[in-house]
Amino acid sequence: MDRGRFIFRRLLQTIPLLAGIMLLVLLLLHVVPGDPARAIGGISASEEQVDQIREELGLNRSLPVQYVSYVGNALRGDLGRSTRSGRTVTSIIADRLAPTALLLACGMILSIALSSVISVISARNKDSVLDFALIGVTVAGISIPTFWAGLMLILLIALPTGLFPINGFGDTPLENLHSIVLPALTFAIAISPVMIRALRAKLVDLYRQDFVMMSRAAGLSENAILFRHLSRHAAIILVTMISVQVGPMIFVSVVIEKTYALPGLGEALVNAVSQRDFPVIQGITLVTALFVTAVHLTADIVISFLNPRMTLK
Amino acid sequence: MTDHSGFTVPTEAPAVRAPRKRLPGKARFGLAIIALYVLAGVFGPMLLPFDPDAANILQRLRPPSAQHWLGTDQLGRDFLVRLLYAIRIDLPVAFLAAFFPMLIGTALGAVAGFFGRIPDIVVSRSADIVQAFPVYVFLLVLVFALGSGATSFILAATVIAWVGYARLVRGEVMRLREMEFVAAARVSGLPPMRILATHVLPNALPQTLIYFMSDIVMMVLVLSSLSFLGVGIQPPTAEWGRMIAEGQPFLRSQWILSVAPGLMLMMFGIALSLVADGLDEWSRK
Repeated sequence: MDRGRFIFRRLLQTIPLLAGIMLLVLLLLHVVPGDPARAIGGISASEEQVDQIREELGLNRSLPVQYVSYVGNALRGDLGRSTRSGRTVTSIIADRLAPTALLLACGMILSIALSSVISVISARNKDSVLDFALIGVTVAGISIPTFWAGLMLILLIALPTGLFPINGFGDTPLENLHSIVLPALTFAIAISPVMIRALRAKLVDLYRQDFVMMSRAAGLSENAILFRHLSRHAAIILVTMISVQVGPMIFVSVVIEKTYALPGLGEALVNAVSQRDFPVIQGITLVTALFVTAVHLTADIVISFLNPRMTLK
Repeated sequence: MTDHSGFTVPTEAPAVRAPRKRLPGKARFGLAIIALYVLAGVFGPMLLPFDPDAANILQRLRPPSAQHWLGTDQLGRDFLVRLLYAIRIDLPVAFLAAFFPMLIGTALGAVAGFFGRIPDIVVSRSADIVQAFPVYVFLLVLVFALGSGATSFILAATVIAWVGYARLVRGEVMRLREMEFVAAARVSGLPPMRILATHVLPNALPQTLIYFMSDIVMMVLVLSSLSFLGVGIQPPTAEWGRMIAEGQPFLRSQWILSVAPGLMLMMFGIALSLVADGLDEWSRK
């Protein structure tokens, strides 16, 4: 089967997935024990206010009707209004997007760079003291709570040196970049260990292959083997790991935004949770799920180029 | 012949029980640390003459002393007793938040992998939808919707984390299903459910247990993260993530309030990872 058909089929599979995602997001409102409208309004809300909330959220209609109207509105870019500020959820998301996008982008680049370098060093020196030390650091890294790593960076780097801001995002692009350094580093501490684990294992396996021995025998330098022959295999693992890790990455960025008080989507989500602002919670959850789906899809397409065998099945 | 799970699979001759293998040193080291945690969690708070939740504003933010070994927190509570008391919260909650998903995920994955067809489609598509969400963000939102607390956390974890087990077990079962010993069991007329339960599933068990352990590590980290964000375990109950959040404003003056709970979390995670790694090696031997 050719790649075009593979991609087409993969796109088609996404449609029922999106329908399922929106159903789950809608159902979030209904898993609240008791009356969701009362839960949003709080104990102090009057009966009329609760009725109004119920009306606004369409809770007095049947579930299928709610679903159809939710999907219809979402497709038109209408995710409802915040029950606290009255602003549209779409505009809140647009406002909050930049810090999150910058954090994800910088964090991901840093994680890929860090895990590539460490994995190569580790795999080339397999079973050496250095390799064991790096494995040890990796095992420890998986067990570090992200927010704690962030606080430790503040405690050990930001506070003594005063070089980095410890909260906020700044106004100019330069300030933005400056304030994202430590959060991106925290991101890399959280995400790299898992990537290193997978990448090192793959590289160790690759270095045992016959074609590597052949290349060595033919007189290719280690770097030539790495960049000409192994990089493509390693790239497949990296893309797969990004695809698998994208969910944790988003959670990590929520936690990091809270730790460094970055005004991004994650911080908005946590605030919305503390204010019981359901439309905002649903909207941000939906947007993150769409992002995850898009990354999964892109990763599969990229891998189909890196590894044409995948399209055969 | 040895398959990936490391169990000896009889092909021609009946299985000979392998000699007992010793667990690797790192697994035993990890188990020792976990045993220490359990002992400290059970007996530690009894040995210290302090109430973990009783505030005493006059004694707030005291540095470590002979009386309060790790000092006191922002409400004047003895920090060491809270640090140990939190073991009673974090460990069992994380364990259960990985245990229930394991039960449900294993059952669903086994049925999907063994019978294929409609059960497989239903389980696999449901798993796809859950996995389309950033799982732990979804967990956060779900815990909030159900109302903060340990029960909500375990419930929400079960709704979400079964997926990992289902995928793992489904794959293992699909692989094992094609093995000759399963065919032999079929030919000898055993009912399918019995084959699945007594011949197929036990072979998928080691990999599931290893995943279970790394899942506990994840769950204790997620639980503490949610509590840090204010959604998980609620004050005044001692919980490491919450304690770190409460210590954050005093990072400059009393860093131990933020550092110590993080170390407790990290040590526990490392210990359990060592056990999982060791078990993995052991099962492949």
